[in-house]
Amino acid sequence: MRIYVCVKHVPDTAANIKITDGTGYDSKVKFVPNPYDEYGVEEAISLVEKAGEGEVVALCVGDAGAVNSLRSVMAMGVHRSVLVKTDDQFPPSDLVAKALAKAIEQEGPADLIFTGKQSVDSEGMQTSYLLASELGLPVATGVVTLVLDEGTAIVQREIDGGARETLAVTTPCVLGATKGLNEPRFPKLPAILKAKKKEIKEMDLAALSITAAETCRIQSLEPVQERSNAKILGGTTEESVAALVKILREEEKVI
Amino acid sequence: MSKIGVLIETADQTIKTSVPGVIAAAALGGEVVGFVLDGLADTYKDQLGAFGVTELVNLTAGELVFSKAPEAAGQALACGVKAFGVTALLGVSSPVGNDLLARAAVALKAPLALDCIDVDFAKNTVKKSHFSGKAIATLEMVGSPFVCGIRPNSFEPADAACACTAKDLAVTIEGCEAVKITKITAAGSGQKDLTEAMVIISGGRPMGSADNFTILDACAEKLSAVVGASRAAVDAGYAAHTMQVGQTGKIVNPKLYIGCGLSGSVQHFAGMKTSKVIVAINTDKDAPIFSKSDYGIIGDLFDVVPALTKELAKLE
Amino acid sequence: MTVYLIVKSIFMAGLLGASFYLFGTKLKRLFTIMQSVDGENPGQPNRIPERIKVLFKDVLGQTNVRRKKMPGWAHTLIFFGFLAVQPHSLELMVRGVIPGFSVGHLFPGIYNAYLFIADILGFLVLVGFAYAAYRRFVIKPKYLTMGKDANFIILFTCTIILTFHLINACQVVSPYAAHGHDYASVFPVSGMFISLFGLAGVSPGNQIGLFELFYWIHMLTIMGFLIYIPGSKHLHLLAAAPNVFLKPLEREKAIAKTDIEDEEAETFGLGKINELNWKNVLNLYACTECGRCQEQCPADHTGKPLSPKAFVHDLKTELFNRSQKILDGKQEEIEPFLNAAEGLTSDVIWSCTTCRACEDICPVNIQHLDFMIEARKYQVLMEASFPEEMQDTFVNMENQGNPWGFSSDTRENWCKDLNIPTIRKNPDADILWFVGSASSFDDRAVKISKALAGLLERAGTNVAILGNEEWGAGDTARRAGNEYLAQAMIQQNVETLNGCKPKRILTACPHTYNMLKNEYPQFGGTYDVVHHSEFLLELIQEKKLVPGNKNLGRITFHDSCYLGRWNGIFEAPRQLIAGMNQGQPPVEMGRTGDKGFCCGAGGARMFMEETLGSYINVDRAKEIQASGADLVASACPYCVTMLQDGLKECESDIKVLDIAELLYQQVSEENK
Repeated sequence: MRIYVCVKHVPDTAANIKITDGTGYDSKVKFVPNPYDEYGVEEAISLVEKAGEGEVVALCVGDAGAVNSLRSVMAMGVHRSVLVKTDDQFPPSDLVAKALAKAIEQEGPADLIFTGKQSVDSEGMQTSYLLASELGLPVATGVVTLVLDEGTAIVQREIDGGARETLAVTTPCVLGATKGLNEPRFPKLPAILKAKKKEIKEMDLAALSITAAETCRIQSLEPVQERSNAKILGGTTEESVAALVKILREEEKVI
Repeated sequence: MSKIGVLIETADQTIKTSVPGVIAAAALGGEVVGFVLDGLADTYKDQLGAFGVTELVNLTAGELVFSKAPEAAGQALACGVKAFGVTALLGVSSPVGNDLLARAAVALKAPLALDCIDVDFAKNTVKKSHFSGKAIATLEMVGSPFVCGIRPNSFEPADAACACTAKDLAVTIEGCEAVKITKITAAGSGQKDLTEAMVIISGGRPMGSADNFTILDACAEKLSAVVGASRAAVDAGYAAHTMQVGQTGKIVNPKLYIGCGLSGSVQHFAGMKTSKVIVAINTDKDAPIFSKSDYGIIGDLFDVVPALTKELAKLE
Repeated sequence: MTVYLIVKSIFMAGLLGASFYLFGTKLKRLFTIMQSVDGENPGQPNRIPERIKVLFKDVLGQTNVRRKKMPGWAHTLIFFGFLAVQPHSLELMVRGVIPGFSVGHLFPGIYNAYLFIADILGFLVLVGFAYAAYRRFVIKPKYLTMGKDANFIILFTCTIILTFHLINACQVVSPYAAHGHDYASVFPVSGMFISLFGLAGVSPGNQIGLFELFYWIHMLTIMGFLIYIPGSKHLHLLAAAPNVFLKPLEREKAIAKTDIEDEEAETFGLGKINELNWKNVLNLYACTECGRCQEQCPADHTGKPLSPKAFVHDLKTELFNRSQKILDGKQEEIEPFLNAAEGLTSDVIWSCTTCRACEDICPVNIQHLDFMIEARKYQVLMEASFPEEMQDTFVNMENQGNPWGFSSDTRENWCKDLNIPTIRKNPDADILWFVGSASSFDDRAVKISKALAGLLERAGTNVAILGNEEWGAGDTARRAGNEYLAQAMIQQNVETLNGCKPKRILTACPHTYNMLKNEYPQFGGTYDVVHHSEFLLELIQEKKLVPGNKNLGRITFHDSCYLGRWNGIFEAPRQLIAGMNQGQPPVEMGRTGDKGFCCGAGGARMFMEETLGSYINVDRAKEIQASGADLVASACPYCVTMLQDGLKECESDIKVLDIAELLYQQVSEENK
């Protein structure tokens, strides 16, 4: 059994993002594996553990520092990794999908491929679809439950208002994991130490000679202006509430 | 004049609340062509005409039920886009909408951007959140058509009544058997959708119990609002996870967000910072939420919220 | 008669030989267990002369035992009495084999003097045990286990002493028993037994009979006791003194540095009982089950499953249950003990606040914390098992250097309007203020930081901070058993600190203080560290700060565990308060100083849910209310938060202030 997990090396969501010029940001912040990808990693490892055989291979398109995220997921139990190196902070999704597909082509046929539902930096929400298209495989994303059957993956995804769709997807397929699928394990120290010795195959994106249309390009990045201090409405409870309703109705026009 | 396509997302034979906003966005780029997947274009055309849809296309593929075959639905949309020569396909960035738009974009080999808060047809750019709402990225969509999902409540529905003609387009789909939707399980007791809500009132840990949330329900009723909760309240068992607003819960974009007993944590804010107006109610005058809100009342929510409900009742 | 004496001689020789042999074998086994455990040798003892002094003071002088007055005096009597009676019993043993043997023949003067003293001291043993029996059967305190073990010991010892007196009494009235020595007026107490039991009026034949009866009871009880001791809590007779001799000589302690880089290591922390080291084992042997640790423990006091006494007892039981496997070299058959051995559950180890009240009060210096933290290390590093709310805390500390996950880039935001230079901008600062995570990010604690900043400015202190380069000190991670994360955090700070070579480091947080002063040296970071209570006192003494001297009313002071018990700083904050309050020292609560009651936040418990029993901070809050104080002062940001929450829960108006806030108020008002 071979399960691929696509992992993106992204800034920790708690980190402050300082935008440098135009489309760049200061990358001297803490980077972590994309949280949504970790659900895929945990699922893949569990499936291989249950099967008693097989390997989980992590794939990443990122800069040299991405080895840290790969070591993290290998500490969870991923067996080996492939890193396609690029210094681009926002590589276009179609290019990334092609690179991931190329890596899979090189490393061997997949029984299952996990990605995260979206990345927490560019939030493209489309790599799983593009990758599936490259490989000619079916795809479902936002997966919160998974049961593998003969040649089919029965998955559930959340839609509006908490309702759920159940889908039958023929395998091999690409699945975009999200919160709720499982609880990513906390790595034990022996696994962390072992992960330091596991294989990371590195290659340059440029050396893969893939061409992508790169039809969606980032043009600029602006920080969101934070609100400043709230206008406190004073007086008795009745007075402040009356003032609030008046403002919301007449000035802000939101009720 | 350009034509801009809009995926008219429906559920239970009803048009989703956020669709008119998307139509308004599309109208900025040209004539709006709506695409319907449930075969009920005739039923919707008058309603949609009121918002500015000129043509409403009934996409069919023989006996195929698109709501059970998302791959086919994506292909059908792609065919529709090509057949009607629209230069862009917009839709609501809901879980279903995102899925269909993505499949259509892949079929069209078109650039795709989801969860956008703005669209500029002249420059062919869209704006969307990056880094969980800490930054706004402007993306250039190179190529025509492009596909774009719009975050609910980003655009106001327009009063742009026009005549709407229903058209049929039958397409042939092949080989889309690999993904089948076999079942839809409804959520619990009529949980309204937070992501589309225009007004949200949320409770934090100080709510103290699940029962106390009825105070918020009463106020929500007067506001036509949906009740949300912070992670702390959910973790304490006072609210269901489906009510959680925040980085690990739902991202919401209402016109009005009222936070009751919320401290204003970074994680919660990531989920609602794009709200147009934020009101905070908290007993602690130093709570961080006051530095991130538009209006604040320093007081006990158990006094303030019922008083607010009473005041709102006076308006009726 | 002679036949009897010969038979007696043979039996005595045989029984003595057997009992001493059995005793010896059991002792040897205990010793071998100590040698066979797999834990790393903690090294040989240092500073021997000091340790010998400790032996004299604590063991011979029984000073530590008498920290609890009544039981302490009872034990002192028992201790000395029992020691005093030993030579007498030994002589009797020899005489049992060799009739007529008597030391008295050789040194009659000294012999009689000894017997006189021994007789009195022996009786005092009974007095001591009377008190013990009263405690156990009348008062019945919760922390004393009324087990068979304790009752046997009371029975054995009282029998030995009673028969001792009766034998002595016989030796006065019966020439046979006297074996040629004159015992008249040698035994002041035993003498009274003569009239008490009417021994003088008994016929000589019966006197002999009684003497022999008492003799056999005495001997058999002693021999039985000898065999009983190694398997009972009375093992402390042998293990206590060595354990005290080897005790840590300093109050301050550092968590042991686990070698987490060791690729050969198969395990980390304490998972299986055979992973103890020999000193741990000696600790377990030394436990007398006195229950003082349980009495002091904030977890036990508030209904958590943790009792330090039960913890030690259960570890000892587990060790004995596995001892055969250990001795047979079958360690791989031993399983980890947590949630497997009786009484040793996750709730037990995670309830601990690491306040060290147990270690402090233990009369035989057992180091409970060593077992506790090592057990936590195993759970976290090897099992990834810990209260689930800690997972986010660990991730936050790893990624952003603080338990709440605020961006490390915002660490200096609290003082952005205060113009405190970073060490990069002010490399020659006299004081590097290591602010700490709570004091940088927690709203309540930030108020304390601002007060301290105000004081430093007023005093004209040449101060700098690390700013955003500061990372969490590692206390929470280390106490939670996440040694891997803790070492990463410590090493990062050591690198930063060694890079800027601070002259002196100031901190307002006792946890941070403890890390920087006592644990950072393990990682190559040795600094001169001062806590703000001491530093502010220095500033006042140097007249750089002049506090007002108003009557501030009744103020009480809450000793923080990591400042007081862990680091011995009790006086500085009290002097500060007195100095502000017209010389009135703070009102002391019952549980004060070394016996201070924890606020509940230590041991990483600040970041865990308190779901068992009642709230520790509320218990303390009630005590604060009972003190009649209007204000409680503290010197730790966690304590301030916990006490404030606790008092709020009690619907109290009592104010809670850090000493920096209190001083800043006084200083600001003075200079108006």
